[in-house]
Amino acid sequence: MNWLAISPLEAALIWSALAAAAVWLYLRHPRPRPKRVSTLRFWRSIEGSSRPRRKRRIGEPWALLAQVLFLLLIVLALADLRPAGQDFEGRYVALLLDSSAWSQSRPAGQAPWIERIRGEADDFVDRLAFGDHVLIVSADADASPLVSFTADRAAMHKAIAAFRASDTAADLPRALELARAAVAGKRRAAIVYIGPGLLDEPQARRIEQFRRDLQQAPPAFRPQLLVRRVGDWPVENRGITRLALRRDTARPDRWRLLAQVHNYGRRAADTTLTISIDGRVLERQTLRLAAGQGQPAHSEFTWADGGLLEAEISPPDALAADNRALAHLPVFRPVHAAVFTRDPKILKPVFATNPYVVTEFLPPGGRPAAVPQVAIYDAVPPPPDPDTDSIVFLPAGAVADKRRGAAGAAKRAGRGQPAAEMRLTAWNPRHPVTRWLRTRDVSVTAAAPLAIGARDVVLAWSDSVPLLVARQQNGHKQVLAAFDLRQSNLPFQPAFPLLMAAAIEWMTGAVEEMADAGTTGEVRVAGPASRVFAPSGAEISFARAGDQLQLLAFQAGLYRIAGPEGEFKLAVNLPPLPAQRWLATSDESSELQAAPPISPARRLWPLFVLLALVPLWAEWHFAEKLRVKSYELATPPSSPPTHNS
Amino acid sequence: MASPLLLDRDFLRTLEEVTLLCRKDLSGTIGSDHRSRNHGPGLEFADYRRYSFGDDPRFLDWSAYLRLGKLFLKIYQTEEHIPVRVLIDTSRSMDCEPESGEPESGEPAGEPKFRYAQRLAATFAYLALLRLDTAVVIPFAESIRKPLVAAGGRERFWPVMEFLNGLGCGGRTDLLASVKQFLRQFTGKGVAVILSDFFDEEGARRAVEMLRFAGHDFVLLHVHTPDEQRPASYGELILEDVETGERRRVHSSPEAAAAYERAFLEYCGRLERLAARNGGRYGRALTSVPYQDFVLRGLRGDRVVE
Repeated sequence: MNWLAISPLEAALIWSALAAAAVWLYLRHPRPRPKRVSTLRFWRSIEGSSRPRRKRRIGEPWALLAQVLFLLLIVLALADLRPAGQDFEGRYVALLLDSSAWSQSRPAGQAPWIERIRGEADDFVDRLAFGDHVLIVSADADASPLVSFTADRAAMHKAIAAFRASDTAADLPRALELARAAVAGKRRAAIVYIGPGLLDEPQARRIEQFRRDLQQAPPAFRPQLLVRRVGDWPVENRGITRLALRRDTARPDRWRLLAQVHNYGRRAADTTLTISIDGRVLERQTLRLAAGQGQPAHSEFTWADGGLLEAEISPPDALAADNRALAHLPVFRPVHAAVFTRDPKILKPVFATNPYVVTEFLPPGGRPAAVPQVAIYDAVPPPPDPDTDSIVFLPAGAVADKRRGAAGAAKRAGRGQPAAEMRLTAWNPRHPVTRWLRTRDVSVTAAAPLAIGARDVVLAWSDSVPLLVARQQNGHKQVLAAFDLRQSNLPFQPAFPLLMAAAIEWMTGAVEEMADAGTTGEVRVAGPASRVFAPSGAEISFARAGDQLQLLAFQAGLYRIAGPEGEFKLAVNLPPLPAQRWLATSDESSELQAAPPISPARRLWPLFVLLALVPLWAEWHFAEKLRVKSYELATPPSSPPTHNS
Repeated sequence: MASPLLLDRDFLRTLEEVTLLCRKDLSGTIGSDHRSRNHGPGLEFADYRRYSFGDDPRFLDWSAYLRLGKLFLKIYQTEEHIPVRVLIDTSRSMDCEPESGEPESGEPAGEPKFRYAQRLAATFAYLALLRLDTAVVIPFAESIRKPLVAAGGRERFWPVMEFLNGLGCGGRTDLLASVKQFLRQFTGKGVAVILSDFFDEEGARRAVEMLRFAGHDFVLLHVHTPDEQRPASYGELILEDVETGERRRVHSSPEAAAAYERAFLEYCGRLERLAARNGGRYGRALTSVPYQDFVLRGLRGDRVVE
């Protein structure tokens, strides 16, 4: 059964209330009526018959039952039941409400677009025929249903009232496809879009394709597409469409900033761009923006500490959401390296050109001023248990000892003496230290054989002889070279500074060269994560794709990503917003097709009304019987003749 | 608003054919149209009787002597003046409107009780005046109030009507005290018509006995409304006596109404027997019956009028 007018629960409640009222009326003792009489003596004489009733009772239960049955049938008629299984004649309407960033627009002197969208949606719902089913979808970067197909007007209005705008750009073709899939196979369906109707060029082409696809459907199953545009276009809005920062490679504490500002309005405008970090204003620039054009703004500043960089444009305009962009600046701290060497001539030039490392050259056994992050042993025996990360170039004596030992072992094994000069033939391309090294010009006069542990990684070979090994020992990383730098031409190779820089980076972590911000919508971020928090503080879901994670960012702001190695921040800003108006055809601007007539034969309320007449008559019959019986009881069988006849 | 005419003109013309009957030998003043059973000076021939020594020779029928050779006297009917005294109950209990709407019996509600009593009082007064009798209208409640005495024919009826129209109801019923007072003030025998609802049974019994002892020919006319005979309202009621103010909560149902009616009719029967035992007459005047019908048919049946 379809309960069209009221739900089964409502019908049950109404009937229960009416039945309770009927029983109460039957049992009701009306307040005694006052009456002045001259015959009180006769009432006294019949005291037993006229004693006031104390016990409530129903005089005619059958009449009461008949009345309750009558009320039930009337309530069922009001519920407008229809037999299940019949084709429901109402329409299926997918209502797409634009919840993109443009919906937040508040042009001067006009109502906010989001309120106009809600108003338009409420009016549309109210004009629908009774029994039409509506699916309401929030259309932004994603297309998510707010309420699934329902004929409950209250639920529709509630969903419309709860609908909110996001900070994303709308993907209207995606929302249209979702709506088409939802109404597929339904007769007399409609897809209705309500919003500003702003697209970019690719979306416009996809909508054209969508229209063509709609025409392919059979006429009986072809949904009507309606477009209800809200708001005048263009609006006077300027927005930051891009914010990017790069470190200066020569000076890691210096940043180069690029901001792109776009004028969506039809008038040229002057805009002030303010750059600040953690609330401290660094710079202000005035930009002259032509109508419909964008303009880049550059800036440079020195900032070694991390922080939140904010770019903001003023004065305020129709859309405030894109007047602000964020970027998270990572902290820069140079690596402190202690070089233990008898002859700093070889390594000094290498580190002199590396602004990321601050080196302290010490003689063997020397004590650095502070505990270094990396210790480099140039032909100096390292301590047996190093307490820092280290790079070790074995001293020549160790190499000779090892050679003698290796030669003896080789002799005993029947192998030949180690070669005097070895050419490095291969680098390990998978390890971070050597992945960018390709040179084959490195030769080594003498190299000691290295014992390779189970967890050691060979970084470079000469044929099958390991020359460079990476190991981890007691929680510290070590790069071990099997040769003395003086017995090799490696220091003279361009690869040597790269090798040193890569080794230090592998040990201390890479310095972030960029401080780009993501844009709302689908975001991909490198790195493992266990939890992601939106700018509002709410935890949001995400998906893993390899070593990246994917999430849908509906809000602009700073996201926190918590992983096994700590937490890092991700700034997300509004993307460049589409600025091309959806040109609706005359059909799309027309009204919803009229609701089909409901076949009267399928409605059951006339039957219920007719059936209700039976208990109505029965109630009168039982009540009349009671009245006649009472009268017969009341009339004495033989009354004394009156003198007036 | 009640019409000032208690009796309409058609009914008055009809009353000219009606005579108030006396059941007792009441010695009245000669000269009325009221026929007496006594024989004596009069205009209407009644019978012959043999002449006895000492009879008045003026009444000898000489034609009969010539024919029969014997002396016969003509006897004429004596026409005496019989005062008709109408005691009308003006207590609060008479001022009851009938229940609006039709009761279960289907009878109409009738007119107000006191109005009905006024009409009956006017009727008896008119009947008396028609026969050149004296009509006295005596209102009473706890005691009798200032009466109206009318005599000298029908022309004297209009003051009676005005007097009756000017009466109002008030006070409690004390029939015994009122009759006592009546008997003290009106010592001559006559016809006493008591118009009341007679809800003072003990007082009525003693009053009737006193009337009998005083030699009056009395008629008890019991005036009541249909709902006083059988209640028309059902449900929970709070009844308040109009005279005593006593209150009582009752549940009126068809069964209770039937029991009530039985009690009421039993009471009416007792009144009737009381009247009959004491040589009087009793009539029950139900206000739903038009007063004309009651007078012309009901009272005829009760041998009050003819």
